[in-house]
Amino acid sequence: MIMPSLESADPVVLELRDLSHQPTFENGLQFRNVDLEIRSGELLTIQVDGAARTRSFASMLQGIGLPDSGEIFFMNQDWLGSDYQRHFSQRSLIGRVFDGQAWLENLNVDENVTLAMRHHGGTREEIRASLHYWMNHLGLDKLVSRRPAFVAPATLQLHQWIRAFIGKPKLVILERPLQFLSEDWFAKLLSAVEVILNNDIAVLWLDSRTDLQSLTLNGRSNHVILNGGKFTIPLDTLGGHHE
Amino acid sequence: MRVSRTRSRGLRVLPQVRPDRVLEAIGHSVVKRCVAVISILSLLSATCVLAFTPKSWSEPVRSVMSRQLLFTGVDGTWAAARFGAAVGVLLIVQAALWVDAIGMTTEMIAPMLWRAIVREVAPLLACLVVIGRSGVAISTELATMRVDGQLEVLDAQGIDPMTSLVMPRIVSMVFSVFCLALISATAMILTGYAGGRAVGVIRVSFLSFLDQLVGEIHTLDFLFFVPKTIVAGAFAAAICCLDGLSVKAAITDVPRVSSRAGIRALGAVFIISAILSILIYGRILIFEVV
Repeated sequence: MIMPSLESADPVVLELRDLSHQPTFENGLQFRNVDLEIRSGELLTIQVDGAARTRSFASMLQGIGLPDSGEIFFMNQDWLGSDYQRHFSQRSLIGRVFDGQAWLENLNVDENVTLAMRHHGGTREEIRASLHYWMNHLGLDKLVSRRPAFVAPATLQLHQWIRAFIGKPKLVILERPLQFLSEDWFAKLLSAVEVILNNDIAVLWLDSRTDLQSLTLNGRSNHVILNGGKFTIPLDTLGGHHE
Repeated sequence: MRVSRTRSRGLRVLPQVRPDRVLEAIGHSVVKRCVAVISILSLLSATCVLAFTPKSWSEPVRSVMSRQLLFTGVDGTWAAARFGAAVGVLLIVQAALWVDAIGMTTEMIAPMLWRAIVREVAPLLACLVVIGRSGVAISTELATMRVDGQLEVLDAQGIDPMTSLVMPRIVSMVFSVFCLALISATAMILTGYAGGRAVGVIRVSFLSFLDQLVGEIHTLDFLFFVPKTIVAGAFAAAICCLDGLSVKAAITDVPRVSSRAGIRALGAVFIISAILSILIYGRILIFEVV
């Protein structure tokens, strides 16, 4: 059992307590009595198997689907009960890069990107400023104004990044954020993640890449490997696999 | 157990009809229908609550509503007018036959036309147009979104699919049925008059004809027209949305669910029309009930 969060006075953003889950489909992530804690401004990378599907786990963290046992807390509140307005309000504080389908096909990509902000009452100025900042940071001229079906996967993936980063999230979940993209984008993503962390936003990065373990962004990065339903700390961070 | 001899296979066992099994099947069917009606009513009550909550009407929800109104209401105008015009001609041809057969006077045509159109045909026709053009499309769209994971995407961004997808679609379908019923009623009256003049059944001027129609207007007509369009439209919309969202995780289910939604919505519209007729007029066809 691991509590990977560093000792810190920062508020806990996401917490898993004694979580167990057996996926109902092939290649889903399996968990056996795991604990996890991510605080504001912290990066946690979870290395998963290359064929693993992270989507249902990420959705479970957002209260969409329940684990077999254990508890999930976001900003010290669970996802239980029928106060759905609270659940939706909590979810609006989570930015996410999805693995798999990530777009409403009947909206243009730019409409998709700003949808959550517009729905949650973001003003035009706030949306424009936030978009402008991240587009500049990533070197994009403008958002694509076409249906997702007609846009290249790499372009869609970059727009997913922007969608996850804009607004004022408390947590950003990145599911294989570099898929469809060339390695050139790795450095830009790291730079973006560093900015996010410096804004006291927690980041959970789910990926099969092995080079994430060496990341030391803002000195508050944790890395674990998901193996057999348990989290283990990689060799090069603690000098051996620990459970 | 009864046994019968068949030509090809020799002995064949026929299932024995057991009364308890028959009752069980009937009970199961009744419970299933009750659950379906309760689901529809729950969805409609949730829609009402959300529709009257100002916070629900965010900019994207208003956008969904306006697109749906455009597709269902505005784009359906021509179809409703066209069908209404055709039905108006049919009605007047029938009236002409009755004039010849039983010696009806031409003065009786206007009230007959008015009652048939306002109380029965126009609301039904509008529902048919809306279900055919939009109901099945809504069902298909929601089912595809569910199978494709698009609802999950919406949910994960803190956007309630009920508020952003279902509620605006139901509200716009209800509004569209009401407006299209008015349009098809107008088209029926116009073509009814034109057809009547052409075949010699109506010999008065258009203004006199309108005057006769206005004279026939009864409070009951509005009491019938408004709830019939609104209730039937709401049920049709709720059924299409519910069926669309009920699809399992297979894209091959989508066409089956969509066609089922269309048929169920049509069935509901006819049943609701009959129930409202009984409730408001106290009669089924010509038979007095209360």
